[in-house]
Amino acid sequence: MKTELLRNLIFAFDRYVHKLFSRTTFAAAWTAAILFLTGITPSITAAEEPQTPEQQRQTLIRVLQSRVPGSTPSDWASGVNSAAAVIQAIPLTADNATNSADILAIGKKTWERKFKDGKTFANCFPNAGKRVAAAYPQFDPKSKQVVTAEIALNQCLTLHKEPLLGLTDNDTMGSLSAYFKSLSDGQKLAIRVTGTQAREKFDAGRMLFQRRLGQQGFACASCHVQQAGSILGKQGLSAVVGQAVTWPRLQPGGRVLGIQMQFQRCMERSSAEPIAVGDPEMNELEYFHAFMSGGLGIRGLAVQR
Amino acid sequence: MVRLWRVACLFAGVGLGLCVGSQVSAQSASQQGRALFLGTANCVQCHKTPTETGIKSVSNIGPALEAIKQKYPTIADRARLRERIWDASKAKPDTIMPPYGKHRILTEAEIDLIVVYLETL
Repeated sequence: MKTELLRNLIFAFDRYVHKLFSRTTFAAAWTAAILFLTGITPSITAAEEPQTPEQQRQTLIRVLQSRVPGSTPSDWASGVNSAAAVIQAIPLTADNATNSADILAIGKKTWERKFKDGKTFANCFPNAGKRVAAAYPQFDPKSKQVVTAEIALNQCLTLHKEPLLGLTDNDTMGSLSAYFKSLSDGQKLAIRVTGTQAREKFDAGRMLFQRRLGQQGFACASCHVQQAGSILGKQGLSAVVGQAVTWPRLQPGGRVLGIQMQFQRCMERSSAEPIAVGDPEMNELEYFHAFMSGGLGIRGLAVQR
Repeated sequence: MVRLWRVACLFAGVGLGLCVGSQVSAQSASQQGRALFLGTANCVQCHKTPTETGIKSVSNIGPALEAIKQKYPTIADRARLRERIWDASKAKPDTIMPPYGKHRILTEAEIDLIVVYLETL
């Protein structure tokens, strides 16, 4: 009698499920019911939590230290990535020191220029823009987008009804961004990833960092994690941790190179179509990338070899 | 008897010609492979070639390329070497080496020429 009752109950559930769900979800409903009845569900929900961004950074540091034993994130930020390779920071020579000073002077002039309404860039940022740039990129909960320092500068122009600057324009945005960052010289990078939406952007950036791109099939991580410290051609490959503190950089010839322009160069080296500077995907990549250099001090307008 | 000698000489001449010809073509294939190695494929970005004094590379991403014939002595080994160039990720999924054949960075014939060159190292 009990068996009969159980069978009727099962058939009734089966008919109910058929009515409620399409064929594709039918099996899933049965699976869920079985899992629930057998008590498997708690063990699934208790599965290992994904690592927090800070845990990911610490994991990455351990991986990089195993590649370049005895080195620290400060070493990588200074450009020492292997015994023989000094990569990122190059001392200013007389020539590029002049270039650097010139670029910063142009940027300062733009920064202090009065808008039509009498305000300046300093009015758009807390503490008149000093010691602020180390918090960029940041997640803006209103627009639900990642805002880079350059985008924040353009948002200021929008607010004051001024024409926007081209994100890749060397003479305007390049020098302005360099000056803005120089107001945070020595400040530790402090990128915040708080809340689910910010985390999604961070994760999207990480996915792009790890994705193989183009015909050559390199990922950012191929060179700057997996092979960090190795010699490619004649140059050492820098570690991702520490890379973000020395941007923008001054190239030979006096041009300013932003970090997203460097991302584009890497994409081109992988024979991939570069993502546009300022594209949300590129901003997410910069968000993840900058977070990985958290706690390291920003250093002026570095010089690109 | 004279006719027999003539025939023998003819065969010997053709044989010698073929032999010299094949050597010349192997040399030419190797040179073409070297040009691809340095050019389109840009293998020197990642590999050192210790026995090739003409190429100065300090790269250490991939293994140094030397004694290839000793490392890949049989026809099967040669096919394995070729496969490594065609798509290195088959043998090593996390490799950084571009999949030259799979992504059509090089043609099948060009990969063969590079293999010929590598065997001279």
